Amino acid sequence: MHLNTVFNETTPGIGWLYQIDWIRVLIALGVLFTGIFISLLIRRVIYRVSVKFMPKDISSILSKVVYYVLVIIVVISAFGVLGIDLTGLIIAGGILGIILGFALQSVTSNFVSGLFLFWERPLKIGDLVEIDGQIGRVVDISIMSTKIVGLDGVLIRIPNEKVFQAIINNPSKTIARRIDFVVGISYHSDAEKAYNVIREIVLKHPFVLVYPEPDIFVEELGDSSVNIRVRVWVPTSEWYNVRKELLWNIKKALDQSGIEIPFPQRDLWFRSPLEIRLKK
Amino acid sequence: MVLQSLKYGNVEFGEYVIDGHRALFREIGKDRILYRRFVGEEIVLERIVFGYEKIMIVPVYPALTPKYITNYLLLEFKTPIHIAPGSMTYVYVEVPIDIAIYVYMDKVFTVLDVIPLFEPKYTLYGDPFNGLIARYYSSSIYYEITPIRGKALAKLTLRNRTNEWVIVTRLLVDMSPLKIFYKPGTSEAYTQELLMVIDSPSTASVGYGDPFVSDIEPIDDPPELRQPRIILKTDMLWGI
Repeated sequence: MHLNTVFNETTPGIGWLYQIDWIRVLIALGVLFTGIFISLLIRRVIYRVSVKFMPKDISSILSKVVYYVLVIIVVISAFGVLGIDLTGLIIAGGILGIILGFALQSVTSNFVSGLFLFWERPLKIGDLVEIDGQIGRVVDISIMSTKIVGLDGVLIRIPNEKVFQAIINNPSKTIARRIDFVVGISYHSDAEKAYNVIREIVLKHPFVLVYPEPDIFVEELGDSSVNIRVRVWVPTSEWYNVRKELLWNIKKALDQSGIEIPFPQRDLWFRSPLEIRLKK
Repeated sequence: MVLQSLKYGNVEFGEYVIDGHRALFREIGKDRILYRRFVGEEIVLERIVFGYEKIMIVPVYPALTPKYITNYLLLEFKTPIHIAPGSMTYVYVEVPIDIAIYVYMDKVFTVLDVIPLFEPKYTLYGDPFNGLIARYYSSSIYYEITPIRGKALAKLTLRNRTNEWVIVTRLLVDMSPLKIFYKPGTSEAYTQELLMVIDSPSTASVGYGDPFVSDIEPIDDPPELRQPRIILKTDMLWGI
């Protein structure tokens, strides 16, 4: 007796079970479980690799996103094995994706920019940076935004999209930094003496580096003053304090040596003689 | 009060002359000490210590004053050394030191004061992006063991592995693996032997060996400059 007949006769109502292609079902389940297993492996690998150069939470999000995308592909493939066409679902999902893409454009942009920032690492927590005209110390870099505390102590949140597109000025990336300023002395003063006074102050400062050697020279014979350019290199961490101390010490030393720092002066010449009236 | 000159080791109460400084240790009660450092008649540092086992004056790495910003020390030789291809030689070089006052209790110590012995200067070794900041010192060269007051002496072995003459003008040292020793009761300080292997006319590596003088004691390293578990060589990649 044929098995179909037996099923129909002995267990009425479950005949449809016989119509199922069990081999296909097994293949689909095989595709599903193997796919999910491989997706899990890929998720772990992505997490372990990315955690070396990204914060843990970002690595976790990235690995999860990749995992769920792979699981969706595996599920669609498994349904495909069963002969179930999900084209309509994919099209609907695609349309939904486009709608969400437009709606969450800035969120997505910030997210992707955040990933690229973690990859490129133009700044790290603790760096003193200038981003988009804002100067401050970096206190947090998250997947959506970067937070800096300005020099006045105010917290500034900058979306990662802006950080990614902005010109970032990050002096903390280098270990040494140059200080550059001009000291103007009057034409009446002894320029050589002034040069020696400035040089002595510069060389005496512990944080003015021996190499690269300090560079001090007369840059310009200006309208009101002889301009002496001072260029010195200092450890980046000491830049601010050294700049303050050098300017102050040079000013004091020049005063003590009787060297005048002039204010802008202009000689006026009158084409015709001036008439002066005296009131009695 | 009698002024005593600088000697490394345990300190008794009294007043010591250390370069241009005077260090005063006075007992002000049971287990209590008043420490004062003078420059001229001005008190530049004052501390009160409660509870102590012993106080020591020791030579210390020149990294803590005026501010700890680097582990590295660059010695520029006053006299450059020319070394023939494939040859090996040794010289003794000055290593700058500061003087530290350590206070101990049950082998646990704290650094009470660091007295600078020379004007500190720093330098950039390499370029601003890849290089490093190092403490700078212009060092004299000696041909035999010559204890120098206020300095440590290092034995520097130079090995030229190239096939050409090289000129050595400087030595980069990492102060973490560098060890400072002192001879108790004297003002003599030493480091261990340093081995500079020259790989090219502009690159070398510096290794850290054993002490080359007997009857010396190692200092306890300050927390910033504790010896690493694995001592690696220091690469000189930006000129020798």
